[in-house]
Amino acid sequence: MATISLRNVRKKYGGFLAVPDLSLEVQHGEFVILVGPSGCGKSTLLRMLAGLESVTGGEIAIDGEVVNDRMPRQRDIAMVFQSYALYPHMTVAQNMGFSLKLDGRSKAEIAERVQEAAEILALDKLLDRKPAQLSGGQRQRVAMGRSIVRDPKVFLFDEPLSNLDAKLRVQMRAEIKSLHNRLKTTIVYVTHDQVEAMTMADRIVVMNAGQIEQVGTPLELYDRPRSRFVAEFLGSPAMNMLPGTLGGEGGATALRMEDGTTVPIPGVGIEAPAGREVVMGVRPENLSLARGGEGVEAVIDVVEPTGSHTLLIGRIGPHAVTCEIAGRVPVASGSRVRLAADPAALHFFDGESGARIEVRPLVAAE
Amino acid sequence: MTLTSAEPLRATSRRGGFARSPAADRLTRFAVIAVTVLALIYILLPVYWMVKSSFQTSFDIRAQPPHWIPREITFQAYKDMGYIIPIWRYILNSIYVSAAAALLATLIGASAAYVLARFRFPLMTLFLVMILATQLIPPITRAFPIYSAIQAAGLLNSYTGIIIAYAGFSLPFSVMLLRGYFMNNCPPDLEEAALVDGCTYFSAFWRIILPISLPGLAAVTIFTFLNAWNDFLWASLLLSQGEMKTVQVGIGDFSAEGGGGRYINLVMAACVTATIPALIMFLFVQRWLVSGLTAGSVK
Amino acid sequence: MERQKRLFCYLMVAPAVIFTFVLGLLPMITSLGWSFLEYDLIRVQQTGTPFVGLENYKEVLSDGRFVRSITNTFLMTGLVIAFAISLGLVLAHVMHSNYRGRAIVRVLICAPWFVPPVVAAAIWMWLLNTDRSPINALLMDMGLIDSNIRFLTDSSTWGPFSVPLLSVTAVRAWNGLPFIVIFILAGLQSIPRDLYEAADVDGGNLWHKFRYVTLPLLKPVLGVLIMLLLITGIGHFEINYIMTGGGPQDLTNVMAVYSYLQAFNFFRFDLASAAGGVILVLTGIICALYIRGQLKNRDDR
Repeated sequence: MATISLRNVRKKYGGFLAVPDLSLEVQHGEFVILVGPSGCGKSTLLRMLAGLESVTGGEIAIDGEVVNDRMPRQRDIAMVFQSYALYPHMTVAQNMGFSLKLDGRSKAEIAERVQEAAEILALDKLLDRKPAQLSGGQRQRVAMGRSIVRDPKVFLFDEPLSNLDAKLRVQMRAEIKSLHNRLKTTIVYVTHDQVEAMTMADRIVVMNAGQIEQVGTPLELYDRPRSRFVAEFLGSPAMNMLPGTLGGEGGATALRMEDGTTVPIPGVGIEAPAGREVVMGVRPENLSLARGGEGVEAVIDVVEPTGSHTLLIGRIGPHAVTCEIAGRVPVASGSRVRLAADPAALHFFDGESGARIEVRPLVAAE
Repeated sequence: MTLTSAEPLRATSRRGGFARSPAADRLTRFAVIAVTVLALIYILLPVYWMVKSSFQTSFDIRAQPPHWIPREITFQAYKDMGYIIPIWRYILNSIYVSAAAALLATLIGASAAYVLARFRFPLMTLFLVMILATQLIPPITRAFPIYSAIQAAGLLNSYTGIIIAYAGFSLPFSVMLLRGYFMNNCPPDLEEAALVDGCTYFSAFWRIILPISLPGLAAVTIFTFLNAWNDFLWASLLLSQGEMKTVQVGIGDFSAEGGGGRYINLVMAACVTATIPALIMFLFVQRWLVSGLTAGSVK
Repeated sequence: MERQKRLFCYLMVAPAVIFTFVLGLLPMITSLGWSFLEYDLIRVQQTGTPFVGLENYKEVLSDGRFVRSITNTFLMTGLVIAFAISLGLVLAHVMHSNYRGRAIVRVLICAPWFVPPVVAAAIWMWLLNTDRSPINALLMDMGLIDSNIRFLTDSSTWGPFSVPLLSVTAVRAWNGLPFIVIFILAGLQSIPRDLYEAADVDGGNLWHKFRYVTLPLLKPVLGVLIMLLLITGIGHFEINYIMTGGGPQDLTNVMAVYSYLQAFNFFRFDLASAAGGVILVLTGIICALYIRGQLKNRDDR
C-alpha cells in the first residue's frame, strides 16, 4: 500500500505539450481511475508513473519518495498492459515468477507465491501452458497474476479489459473490484470506458487535453459535473445538451434556442444575467412525459424499448434529445410529446467555457 | 509500399472493358511455360553438369563429344579429391570462419538493430544511415585500404582478420533485416513489462527480446553465413596461404582450367561438396526469403 | 533515467557503428585520399606518397583500357538488368501461381543462389570452353554451327559487343537471377488479390492483367531493384575476374577488375584508387538520382 503524489507534472514530446501541468494525490489503498478520450494524456500519465516515460517537469512521489529518476524496476510497481504483454517463450508459471526470479528469490519461494496467486485467479491448472495456448480471458488473468505475485506498492492498469468481449469484460470488472477489496493495494487504472470508471473506482479522474477536468467519487462526478465535458463524458446514454440564451420574466426563467423554441425553467434561479449564452444539461433518466401544458414539446423519431426501460430519441427544437423512462410507454415514433424535468436535475454550463454555473432553487418565488 | 490501386483499372475500363479471349490466355500460358522450361534449362544446366561430372570416371569425362549421361557412375572422384585439394581442411576452415563471422555479425547487428528499431536518441538517424549506406559502397573501392590495414595490423593470413572483415561486411545487411524484424515482431509492451518486472534495459533485451526473436536471428545468421561461405574476393586477398584457405579459394586455384584439366572430375566432386553446406543452409532460410529480403528496402 | 537509456543506446550501437565505420566509411575515404597521391607500391620506399592532385584521374581516364572498361561495365550491367528482369518477371509469376510441385520449382529456380560463385564460375568455364563445351557439341550435332563457338576467347567484335562479353553477361545474369526473382515475388505478393478479381469481372485476359494491374503496381519494387542492380553491377568484380580476368583483349574488362589488376598486378595503389574513385562517383550519382526520384514521387502524391 502506498500513496502517490503528482506535483506539477509536465510532459513534452518534442514541441508538443502532452501534459502541461498536473497535480494529483492518491491515498493509501485507493482505487483511482483515469478516464478520458484517447489522446487526453491518461496513458502518458500512467506510463510516467511506471517510469516508462520520463517526466519533463514536476515531481512524482510514491510513498513520499520522489521517483522521477528511478527506473521502473526501482519503483516497486506492477503493471497490467492492454495487450497483456505475456512473454511468449515462458510458461504461465515462469511468466508469473519472472519478477521474483529477477529479484533473486529462491525457487521454493517463487513456486509457493506463484501457486498462491494462481489459486486466487483460478489459474492453478494452467501453470504449465504457454500464453499462446490460453484464451483471452485466461491471458488477462495471467497478466494480473504476474502483478499480484510481486505484492507491489502500486498496481497500474492500462486499459486491461479493452481486448475482451463484452460479457467477459463485465465479469473481469467484478473480479478486479473484489481483488482490490481483498488486497487493498493502491490501484491506478486507465480506461476510456466510462462504465468501467463508474463501476469500479473509489475516485475518478476525468482528463481532457492533458489536464484534469474533475476529480471525485463516481456519484459526485455524475451528479455535479464541473464542466460540460465531464457531464457529457460520464453516463450512458449521454446527458442531453440544449444550448440557448437565458431570458424570461424576472431574470432567468426560460431558455431560448436559436430557432425561437423556448424552454421554461421553473423553480430554479440561475446566478447569471439574462441574455447569457448557456448550455442546459439534463440526463435522459431525469426527463419524464409531462401532462397538459407543462414542459416543452418534443418530436419523437425513434422508440427503443430495452425491456426494463424505454428510450425515446427525438428533438426539442433543433436539438437532439434522449429520454429514458422506466417501464413501457405508449408512444409511437413520429409522435409529439411534452417532456418535463425535475428542476433539481438540471445542469447549466457556460456557453463558451463549458464551466458549470451554480443554480439554487427559487423557493416560493411567486 | 503504398499502392494507389484504382488507377490502372479505371484506365482500362474507360476503353470500354477488356475483350475476354480464352485463346489469348492459352497463348500467354503456352509462352510462359515455354520460357519457364528454357529458363530452367539455363538455370539447371551448370548444376546438372557439376553433379554429373563428379560421378564420372576420369576417362568417361574426357570423351569427345562429351557424354550428357555418364556411361558409368562412380564415387571414385569423391574418394580421390582429397589427394589434389585438402578439401576437408578447407571446408573446416570455411565453416569456422563463416560461422564465427555470422555469429559475430548477428550479435552486434541485433544489438544495434534493437535500439535503432525501438529508441530515439541523438545521432540515431546518422548512425542508421551510415550503417545502411555502407552496404552500397562497392567492395572493390574498399579493398586496398582494408588489405593494407589488415596487413598493418599483422592479421593477414589469420582467421581473426577475415572473421572481422566478414562480420563487418555483413553487418549492414543484418542490421537492416533485424531492425525490420524487431519492429514487426516484438511489441514494445513486452520489454516494458520486463522493465516493470525488474529488468534493466540490457536484461530486457537479453532475456526477453533475443529469446523471442530466435527465428529471425537464426535466419539472419544463416544469411550471413552464406555470404561468408560464398565469398571469394576477400578470402583470396586476406587468407590465401597454404592450409588456411577457404574452400572457395581452394577450388578457385583449380578452376581456371575450364574442364581440360586432368583432375576435373575431382574438382567437380569438390565443387559438389562445397555446395552441399550452402544448399542445406539455403533450405533452412528458404521460407524466410521473400519476407526477409525486402523488409528494409521496400516499404 | 533518460541518461541511462541514452547510455544503453550508445553502448548497443557502438560496436556496429565502429565496425561499419572502420570497414566501410574509413576505407572508402582512405581510398579516395590515395587517389590524389602517388602511391606506387614498388617505389614507395624512395618516393613516399606525394600529393599529385588529379594526375591519377587524368592517367586512368586517358588509358584506353579503362575507358573500354567503363563502356563494358555499363553495357554488361544494362544487359544483365534487362535480361534478368524480363526473365525474372516471368519466373516470379511462375513461383507465385498455384500448382502442384510449386515448392520444387521454387527451389530449382533458386539454384544459382546456393551454388557458390567460384563453383559456378568453374562449371560455366567448362560449359563455355571452346573445345570441351557440351553446348558446342550439342549445337554441332543439331547442325546449327559448323565450327566451335569460342565463347570466352573469340576476340572479333561488333561495335562494343563481342561473344565473350555476352557469355560473361549470361553467367552474371544466371548468378543474379534468384535474387531478382525473389525480389519481384515479394512485390507480387503485396498486390491485393481482389484487384485481379476486379480485372476478371472487367473481362481482362492474362496479358491485360499483367499489363494494367501487375506492372503499374510493381513499378516501385522494380525501381528499387533496378537501382540495387545498377549499384552492385557497377562495382561487380568476381565473375568477370574469375572467368576471363578481363580478357580477351579487355573485351570483358570492367572497372572493378581494372582497379584490382592495377593494385595487385602492377602495385599501383594510386591508379587503382582513382579507378575506384570513378566507380564511387558513378555509384553516388545513381543513388542521388534515385533518391531525387523517390522524393519527387512522394511530392506528387
